[in-house]
Order: sequence, then C-alpha cells, then structure tokens
Amino acid sequence: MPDPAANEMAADLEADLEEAESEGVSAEEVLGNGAFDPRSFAGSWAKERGLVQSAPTLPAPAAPPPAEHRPRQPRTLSLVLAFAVLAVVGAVLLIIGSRQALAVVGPVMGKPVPASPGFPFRPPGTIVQPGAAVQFVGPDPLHTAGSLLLLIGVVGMITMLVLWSWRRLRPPVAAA
Amino acid sequence: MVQDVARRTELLRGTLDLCLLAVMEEGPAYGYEMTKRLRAGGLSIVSEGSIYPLLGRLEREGLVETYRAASNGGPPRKYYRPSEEGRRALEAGVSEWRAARDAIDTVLGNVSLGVKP
Repeated sequence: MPDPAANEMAADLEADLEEAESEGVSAEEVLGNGAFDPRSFAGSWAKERGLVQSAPTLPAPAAPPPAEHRPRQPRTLSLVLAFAVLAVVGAVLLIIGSRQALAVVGPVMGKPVPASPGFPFRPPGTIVQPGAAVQFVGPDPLHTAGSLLLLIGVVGMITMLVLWSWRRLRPPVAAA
Repeated sequence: MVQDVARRTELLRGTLDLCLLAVMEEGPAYGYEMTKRLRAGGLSIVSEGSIYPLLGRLEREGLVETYRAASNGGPPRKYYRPSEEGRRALEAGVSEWRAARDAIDTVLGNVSLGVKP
C-alpha cells in the first residue's frame, strides 16, 4: 500500500477515535468488530479503496486431501489381512473336510472302491494298504465351505495386492 | 438475540451504501460524523469498521467527492459528499429500495403476529 494513502487512513482513524474518546465512546463501539481484527479491517478498507488487490487474510488451515488422494495403505493392509485370515480358515476347513470325506475302512462294509491310482480326491501321500477298501462317503459341508473361503481369501488377497501396487505406481493426479 | 442482530446486519448490507449517500446528502461529513448520523437515525449496529471500507469503494467508483477541512478544534478531516453520479445512484437506489420494501411489506403484511401483551 502506498505510504501517503496508509498515512491518510491512519490519520482519519486516529482523529475519529480521538473525537469518540472525547465523547466517551470507546474504540470498540466506533470500530465494531474491526477493533478486534485490525488487520482484516485495514485490509478490507484498502481493498475497497482499490489500493490493494485483495485483503490480507490469515492462512487457512490446511484442508484434508481429497478422499481419492488420501493414503489408503492402512485400509488396504486391513483388507489383505482379512482375506488372509479368510484363506487360512478356509484351508483349515478344507483339510478337516477332506479327511472326513475320504474314509479308509478295513473290512469292506459297502461296495468297495478299488484303491487305484486314478481314484479321485485321493490326497497325495495317502497310503492305502493292499486289500483295504476306500469308500467315498460324499461331499462334506466343511470341505465345500473351506474351498469357498480359501478361494475368496486367495482371490481377495491377490486383488488387494494388485490394487495396492497399482496405486503406488500410479502418478499423482494434479489438483485442479 | 444474536440471530436478530445477524438478520439486521444482513438486511443492512445491501443498503448501507445508500444510507451513507443519504447522510452525506444532508451535508458533507467525515467518517465518525456519518456513524453518528446513522446511529441517530436508528442504525445503531453500524460501525466505522463497516463504513470505511464502503466509503473507500464509493470513492473508487466516483460516487463521492472528498476534501480536507479543519473540524471543530480538531485536526483536518476528510469530508465526503455525493458526486453528481452519486446523487443519481442514490435516487435510483432509493427507488429500488422502496419498490422492494413495498413488495416485502405486502407479503409480510398478511402475517398476524400473535404477540400477547
């Protein structure tokens, strides 16, 4: 702001306040809110006179970044962990269910199924004694649920990890 | 109470320039003198914090003329008075205000206030 204009404004204000004081009127009554925020008062006055482009203002507190730019690592990590837990639970259920679904029985009680290498659902490493019969007792609900949970868990984990990597490699979007 | 003051302030915001031009029309005045005239007219919520920026704008827009003159025993003061353009703006503004006031009175006039003595 040019000095002559600033001096003129200060002189006007000083004269007004002196007159008000002589009449028993306080500076707060004369200036209103301007008495409590002299910087803003002087700024708006100078701006309206066309002396400055804009009134000075206190810096605004930094706004939180837009939702799409906020770091999502904690949320992504939580989701990966949740899917991992799901996968582990699914795996446990699958193992338990597989053991129940495949029964090795000694003496043949029902129609025996030969323990041939092509026998389906035979877990690796299962040793079937010669002469013993293996009986398939049907799909166990635990086996089905375990398979489903394991599938969801693994797919979820992979998806979240891919998304997380993509977000990390993606160039930042310039603010408008 | 706070809401009442806020509403009055909002109502005044669009017409304070007219009020300033009107009190200047009574006779040239400096800032504090205008404040006193406005308060004498019932606008007690007007302060110099409001009118100085507005006087600055009126001056920039050429609606007022200023000059320095000695006040009663005090230092020279900056006096304001409406320019020709300011007088035209005052007349036009007063017409607009009266039209708006009449329309609002018509609408609000239908409201019966249930104020008990």
